[in-house]
Amino acid sequence: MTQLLEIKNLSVSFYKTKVLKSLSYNLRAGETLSIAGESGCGKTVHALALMRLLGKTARTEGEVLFKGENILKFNEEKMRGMRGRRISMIFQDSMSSLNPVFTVGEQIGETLLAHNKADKKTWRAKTLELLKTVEIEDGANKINRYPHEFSGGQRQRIMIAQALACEPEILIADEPTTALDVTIQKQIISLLKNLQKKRGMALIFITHNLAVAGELGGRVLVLYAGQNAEEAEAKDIFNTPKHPYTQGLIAGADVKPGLKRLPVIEGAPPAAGEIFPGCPFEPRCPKRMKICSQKNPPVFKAGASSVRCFLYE
Amino acid sequence: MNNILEIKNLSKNYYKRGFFRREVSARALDGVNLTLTRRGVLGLVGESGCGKTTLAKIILGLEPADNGEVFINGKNIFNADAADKKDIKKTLSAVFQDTYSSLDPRMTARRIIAEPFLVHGVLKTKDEIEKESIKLLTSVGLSKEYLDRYPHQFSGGQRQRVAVARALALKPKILIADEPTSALDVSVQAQVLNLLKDIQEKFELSILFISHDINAARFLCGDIAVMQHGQIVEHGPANSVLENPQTQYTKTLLAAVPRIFSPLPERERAG
Repeated sequence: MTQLLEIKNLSVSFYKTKVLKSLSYNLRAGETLSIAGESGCGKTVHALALMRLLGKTARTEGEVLFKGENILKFNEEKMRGMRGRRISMIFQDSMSSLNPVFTVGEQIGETLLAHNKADKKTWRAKTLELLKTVEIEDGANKINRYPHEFSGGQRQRIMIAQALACEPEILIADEPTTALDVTIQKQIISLLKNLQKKRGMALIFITHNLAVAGELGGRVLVLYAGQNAEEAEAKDIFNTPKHPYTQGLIAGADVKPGLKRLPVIEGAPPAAGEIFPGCPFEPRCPKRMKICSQKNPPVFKAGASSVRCFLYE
Repeated sequence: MNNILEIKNLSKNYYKRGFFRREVSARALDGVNLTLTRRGVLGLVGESGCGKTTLAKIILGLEPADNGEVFINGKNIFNADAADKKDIKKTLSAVFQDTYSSLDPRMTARRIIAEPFLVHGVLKTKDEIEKESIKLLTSVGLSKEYLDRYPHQFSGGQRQRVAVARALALKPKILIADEPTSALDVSVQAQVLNLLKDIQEKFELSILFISHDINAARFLCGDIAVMQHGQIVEHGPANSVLENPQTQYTKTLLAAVPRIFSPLPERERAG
């Protein structure tokens, strides 16, 4: 099977702070990959690195191969042809991602025009079609409205329409449902699922909520302290979590009636860039061994999962 | 009397201001009736904008109500005299979602926790305050070394613990917890929920737990009230509300919780 995206030892540092530590994964065409992790674990930085949207202060190492080509080596002009066209991204905060002084029609149309997917005659019809795809009713009326006239869920749909305008091969969704209510979250997730299936695009879904990753299905990559802790199929992550961190998260979230105390992971997640001599989860790990404080574990195979933990050596 | 907090027919509108007339722009609360039993934990769940926080603000006296009554220990808080009001303020305390804005960044934990003592003149000498502050810090799971730290030197979970310690300072009877875990890292939320459970037992508190996290409410609360558009659409023991919801809205809300951890029983999950 050919890989659409291969990420090899991707590291990102800001000055001396290494936020992302040698992340590797593959993505096939049409596949869903959820990246789950807490704040500061590097999940957003990784997405921005893929889009080459990090500022000059960031130093990126490693390789990001899109169909075999390293996009980290692309010049800015070539990169402009990638963003929005081959790889698109939607963000958590739809209010600050949409421009308040342009109508939503203009903003979706702009993407089409910028990538020569439409001209002045056709953009309107194509924009209407996109609004329909993201299930916004009465598009002809909504196309001339401004972002503040929409609810949060509707705005998120508009962002998705914009991201889909050029039929990208990869859609990166960075916490698109975090600011939304659960009922709206469910709608957006099922919309993304449908669109992905219909269009055959790959989806990288970034979330802090493992349960949402489970809802989405596909593969799940759990990040902790800037490196991958565990990677497995969604159902395996939930049925047989391997890494003590994943185990702790799942135990703590599965509330049964009459529970006296929630099982917890002690301590707090490390700050971005904190340096550990051994495994970064060791200070909080209930299953720590002697070796854990001395060496950072490599990734081991455990059944169908990949786990960064000495328990599976 | 078994109900420490009683809310009767409470209504609140927010108005758009016009030149000649006021227009109702949002009906935040619309005839809300609720009771919190002594040493009970009531979960108030609902989506953003449903009026959960408005209700908390009115109980805390931070917002006036348009209509209705709130009784604390049988006293109507809207027409209480000055002495009663002071009593009520000691009875009530609150923990909020955003610890960054609810703790003064220029104060150390020592001053943050001591402030209620000074305001209410409960403890006067430095030694007494120090001793009591350390006791409070320990009861929320922090050691006394943390006394001289500033809010930014704590992690999110620890900051929420400091906020809880401050809320407990005057030995309140009612704690209003407005989304206390929503801003915390996932792996820390369970710790704070356990803490709330512990202090509820230890301090014999009644808690109004406001949250959109149904799983958290299921763990902590004996009773659950579901709110929609400023109205309580369902109210009852947690088990019956969550296992056997009566209204369509509660069912929708439960169905929207990501399925892996869905509190719905198995048969509903399959459908």
